[in-house]
Amino acid sequence: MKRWIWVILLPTLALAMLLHVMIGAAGWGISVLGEQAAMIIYELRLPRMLLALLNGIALGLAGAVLQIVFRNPLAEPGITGVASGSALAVVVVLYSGLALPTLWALPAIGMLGGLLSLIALWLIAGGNTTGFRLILAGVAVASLAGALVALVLNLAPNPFAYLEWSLWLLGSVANRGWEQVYLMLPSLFIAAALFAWQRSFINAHIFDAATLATLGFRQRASMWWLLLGVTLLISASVVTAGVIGFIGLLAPHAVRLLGEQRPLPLVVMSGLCGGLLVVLIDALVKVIPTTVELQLGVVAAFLGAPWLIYLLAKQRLQ
Amino acid sequence: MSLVSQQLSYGTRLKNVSFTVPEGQLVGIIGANGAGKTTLLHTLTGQLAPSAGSVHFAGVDISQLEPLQRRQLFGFLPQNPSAHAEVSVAHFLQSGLVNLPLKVSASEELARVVKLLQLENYLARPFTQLSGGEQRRVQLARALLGDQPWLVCDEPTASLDLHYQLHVMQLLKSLAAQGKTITVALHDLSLAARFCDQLVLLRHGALLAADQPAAVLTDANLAQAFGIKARWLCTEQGVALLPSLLDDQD
Repeated sequence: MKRWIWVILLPTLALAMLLHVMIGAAGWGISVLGEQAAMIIYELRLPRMLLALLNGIALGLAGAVLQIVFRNPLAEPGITGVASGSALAVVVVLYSGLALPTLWALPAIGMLGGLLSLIALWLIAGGNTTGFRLILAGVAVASLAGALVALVLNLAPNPFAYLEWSLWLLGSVANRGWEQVYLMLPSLFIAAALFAWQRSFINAHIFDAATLATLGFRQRASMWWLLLGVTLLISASVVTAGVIGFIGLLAPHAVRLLGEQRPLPLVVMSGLCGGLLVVLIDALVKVIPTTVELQLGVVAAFLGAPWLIYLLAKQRLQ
Repeated sequence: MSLVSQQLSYGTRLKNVSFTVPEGQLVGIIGANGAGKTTLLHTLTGQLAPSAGSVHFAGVDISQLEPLQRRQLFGFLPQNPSAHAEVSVAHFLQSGLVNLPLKVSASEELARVVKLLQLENYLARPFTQLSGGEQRRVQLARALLGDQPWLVCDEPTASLDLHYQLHVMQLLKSLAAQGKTITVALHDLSLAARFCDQLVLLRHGALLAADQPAAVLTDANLAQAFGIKARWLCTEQGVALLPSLLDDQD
């Protein structure tokens, strides 16, 4: 048991959440807010912090599960094409200017896009769920969806729409409210329930594929239940905060660096670690003085890309 | 509980292989590289669906079983397994209990296999830091968990030192004597001749012979299946094979 990781992770997370709420446009701390303190914290800072937290948890969980079931330490949500598919569906709806009946329509459409790209992934991979081929199929789906998103942006009706969609694609939790927080919750709960249900299958990935095949699992079914959970998480994240890259890669690796390799604790801790990362990065976004506020996804990419290069270099050395 | 393979085929890799393994016997699958030993083990256990023929264990058609039912029927040791996560040997074995109904408590069952493979001093060590032979013993211990009626091992003695080659073969022999049906693919013909009750000799995916070792390891069969000739060393401990190439002048 790596109990000490919990002892470090949980208080750090609590501290980061508090820190995040204390920082804002009006300045540092609660007292500068004056009479409107309660309103500002409840309506602006709290939902933004919670949205950052939930997005981080979703991406950390998704990344850990993908790395474990694909047996590939470089797998991350973007690599399945699900994030791009989800983004494409949302952009198309915005472009078409369809009047949406409810607030829930957009996330539902985002998830539909995510699920469609999952089906495309299945078809391109030829039903082969193991390792390399699925990842190549994911890259293909992501490229196609990315190209279509670029096309829609290219055809944007006016510069304002173009700017708005582009900024949204960069990934951010700024200027969101409680609605987005509520939108995250069902996906998180369903995905967590799916992962909990398949926990012994996740854990059995300490064994190689040949051994795993004889341990009594309906492998294909289990694999797709897990991928469905991952899709729900990624789509919900894309719909509420745009595309935030690298968190799904960084979080599981940070947990591994702390010495936790067992699949189940790795998944849970990656969720918390992802939450911690996104809350900290968003706090950073709030304090870095720039004329235009930085987008969360941009800062995450600046931290994540060097990390990916480091991992690849380390692999080459081995 | 006997194992019956009838006209078993898998594409061109396995052709009409029929043999019967009586309950409580240690049966060795032998043959040159690429003869179809691993394919036969995977087809016998239902991991590969046969293109023709059938396998029955204790009268039950293997192909009709769900993954969970197969799990309760046999323990399987693959040829070249490797672990991915850096977990302790204890956690590795603990995880191997998944989907197994146990007649005894989990800790008793773990203690049983740890004792059989003499792993007492390894439990706290990370699996991936063990040597190849030590990993092999841990994997065999994992395959023995659950005490299923049938044990299938692909090269159980691979990368083991001489001491543990003998230890493992004697262990398999004693488990068979207790009523387990055991099917092992083996490279070492001396071990096969000395410990197995029956041998199944494959050549290019087809059955060349299935009988007691003395009847299978004939000069003609060895020449045909392996391209070797052999002299036999017979002592009180058992037999050993001294191979030479067919065209060697000795």
